[in-house]
Amino acid sequence: MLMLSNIHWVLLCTIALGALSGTVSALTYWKNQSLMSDALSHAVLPGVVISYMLSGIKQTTFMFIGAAISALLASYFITAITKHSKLKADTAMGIVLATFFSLGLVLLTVVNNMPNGQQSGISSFIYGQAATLLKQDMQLTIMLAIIVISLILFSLKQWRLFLFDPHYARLQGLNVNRFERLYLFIVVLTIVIGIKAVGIILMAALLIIPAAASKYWSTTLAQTIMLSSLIGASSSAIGTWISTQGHFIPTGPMIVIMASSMFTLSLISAKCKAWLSRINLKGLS
Amino acid sequence: MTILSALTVNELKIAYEQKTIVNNVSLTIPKGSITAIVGPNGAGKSTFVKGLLNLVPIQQGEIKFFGQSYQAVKERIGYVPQRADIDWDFPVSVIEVVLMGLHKTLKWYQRFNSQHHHVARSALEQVGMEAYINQHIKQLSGGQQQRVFLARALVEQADLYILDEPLVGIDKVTEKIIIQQLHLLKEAGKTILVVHHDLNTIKQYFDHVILLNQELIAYGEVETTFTPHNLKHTFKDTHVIVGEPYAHA
Amino acid sequence: MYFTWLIIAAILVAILCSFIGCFLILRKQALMADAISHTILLGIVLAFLVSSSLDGLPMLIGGSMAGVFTAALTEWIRHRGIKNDAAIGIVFTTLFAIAVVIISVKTSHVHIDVNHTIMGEMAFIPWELVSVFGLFEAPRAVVLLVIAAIVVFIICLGLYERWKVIMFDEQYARVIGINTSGYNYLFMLLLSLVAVAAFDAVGSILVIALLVTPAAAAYLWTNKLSVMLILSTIIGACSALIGLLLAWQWDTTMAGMIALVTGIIFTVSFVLNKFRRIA
Repeated sequence: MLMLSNIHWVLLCTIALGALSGTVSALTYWKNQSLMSDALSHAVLPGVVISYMLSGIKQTTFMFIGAAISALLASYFITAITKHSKLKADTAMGIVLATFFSLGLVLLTVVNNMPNGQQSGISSFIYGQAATLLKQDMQLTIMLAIIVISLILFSLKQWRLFLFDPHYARLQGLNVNRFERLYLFIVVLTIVIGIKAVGIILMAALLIIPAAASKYWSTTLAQTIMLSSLIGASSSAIGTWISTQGHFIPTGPMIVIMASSMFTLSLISAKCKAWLSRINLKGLS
Repeated sequence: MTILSALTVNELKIAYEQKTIVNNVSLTIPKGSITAIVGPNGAGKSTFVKGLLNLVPIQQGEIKFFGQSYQAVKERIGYVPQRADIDWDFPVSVIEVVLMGLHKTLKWYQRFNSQHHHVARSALEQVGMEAYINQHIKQLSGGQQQRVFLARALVEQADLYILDEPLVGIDKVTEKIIIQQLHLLKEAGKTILVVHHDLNTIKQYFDHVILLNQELIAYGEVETTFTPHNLKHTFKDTHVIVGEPYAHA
Repeated sequence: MYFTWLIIAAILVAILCSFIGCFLILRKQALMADAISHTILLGIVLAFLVSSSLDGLPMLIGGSMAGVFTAALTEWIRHRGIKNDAAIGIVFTTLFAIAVVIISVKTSHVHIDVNHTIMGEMAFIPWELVSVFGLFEAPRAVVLLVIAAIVVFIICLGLYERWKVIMFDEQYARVIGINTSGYNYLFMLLLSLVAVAAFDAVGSILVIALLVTPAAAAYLWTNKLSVMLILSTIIGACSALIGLLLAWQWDTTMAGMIALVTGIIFTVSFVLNKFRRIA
């Protein structure tokens, strides 16, 4: 077994999560569902609390399952609202986000009034607390990240078809419905395992920013995924490292700030590139 | 009759939320023909075509391609959708778009090999886009984009090609190339069906026409079907100059 | 007296949010409201650092500016080719993250507590009494809410017809000479004002719940804007009242309970409406 200290495992874990979120962010961005990640992230709360209430113990696996079920239910409700009423997607997301999260908060106060409530570990889901992850949870996270990223890269041509032109994909024989479910499953999985590290509120950031940052520097989906994954991983690594340097610096927000900085850099350098090429053209003519 | 027809439609009805978009359409398209579907805006032409391809649900009716159901002969039908439906920002290169047409020849774990690339490249040469092979699609003009999508349809080696408004918003060069390619396909025995918007070019480009305005007004050979009388009925809510001064409803 | 002011505050917040929420969902900007309700935290924190006080005015200014800044920054990023959803997401998560870092590092010894700002807890409403026109005293938060309500009602009702045009067909509005961009920012300013006024009492999540859900529920029942506005405020006020009572009954978070009740009322409306359409 690798003789790594706990800090190293935390670092590896957040890097794996960053890479995974980055990869998945490419999918959500090009599927036009960036903010769905925010809605689903908030929607895991009641699931986490209920599974704690049912199991009575602080068991990460149970809470993961509860979180996943909660998020999947939320996604179902959002789709149902937009399909069966005149309300639009943004409104549906707002309703489900607020209702689910408030349900979670209400149940949370019930839990906090229970005997062992304060040790439920639920708040680490809300704010993210990478340092409290157990070693086997981290190893599981790293393994899952590697598996999911490999799966996506291996079936890249299907993803390209599915995201670019779903109607045409259907005509080409792709099972579009199955891919929709697979996509949702991957997003929920990423949210569930990522939330422990960065918390509910900032999870959306990791599923949105890397893809946007990579937009200016990639022309194919493969490049987008690789660059997003890199940006996710490095911002996680740097953010985690910075937060270990000071006393009160929280990890989650630091990672998000790193990712945004990379986005800003990407945007500015793209503008410079465009500006330079315009000057070059003017010089030539 | 079945052997000679590429497409037979019987009492097709498509509705959406209590609103009928296509009503009781029955027609036949012979093999080897190049047919235009025309009608005013909102006539249901696009919806009709999507209904044929099972992209929208149909309320009633029978659709037969080459005498069989769509599912049975899916591989023999090629589709070029409207350009408006595509996100042109999407990170994909020209060659990658064309390769999509070959998707159904592969299993999910297989990759595109050099032969696939060769086929894709040939199709791009046919439409004059081989120089743009690795470019991002957003760097292309409207006409160039349309040609790439035609190339994608060409690699499908279909027997029936369905195109939705392919000549909208494109340059003259592209229009010539596309019509040229479509006629080449027709000469090779393929059947072409085009949702078309420009009444002035019907007689020049097509040999059959379908006049649609939610209901079927007429269909058949251009000579006998594309008449002022039928056009008046199709476009009865708009003013159409058909060689008579101001043909009112 | 405490409980009375609590009820008044809750109903005020509910009416204020449910009212402007109608315009919000018709403009399809529910998620922008979500974003603003998070970013005003940064505005408030910066206002605190600059003015060294948690008084009403700096908070109001800081929060409102943050809200408008959010909208402006999002627009700027969108112009650089990023999709709308993603632009909103980038801006609000970043600004919120910055706020959390500043709070953790600089102000960990002061009252601003991230927990509270998200979940709010109505028990912590700034209860310092201020004098109103020298006539009587009311909690600062309530006074702030009343001011916000008056401003919002006057502006919304005054610009009613113009906003209807913009909401229905923005391009047409622009063509006939309406300054859609200006009105958009004005709306964002009002939204931020509401968010700040409500925020101190009830935290981020409840603000979103009250902004979006009652209006959505009302929208299911009617197609007329005037009816929708009235219905929405009624639903909002009822949610506040019922939510408070239930929270006291079951000893749970008041803000959370009110938000939950809005969700329940929406669900009932949704289900009933489905049956109405089938029938």
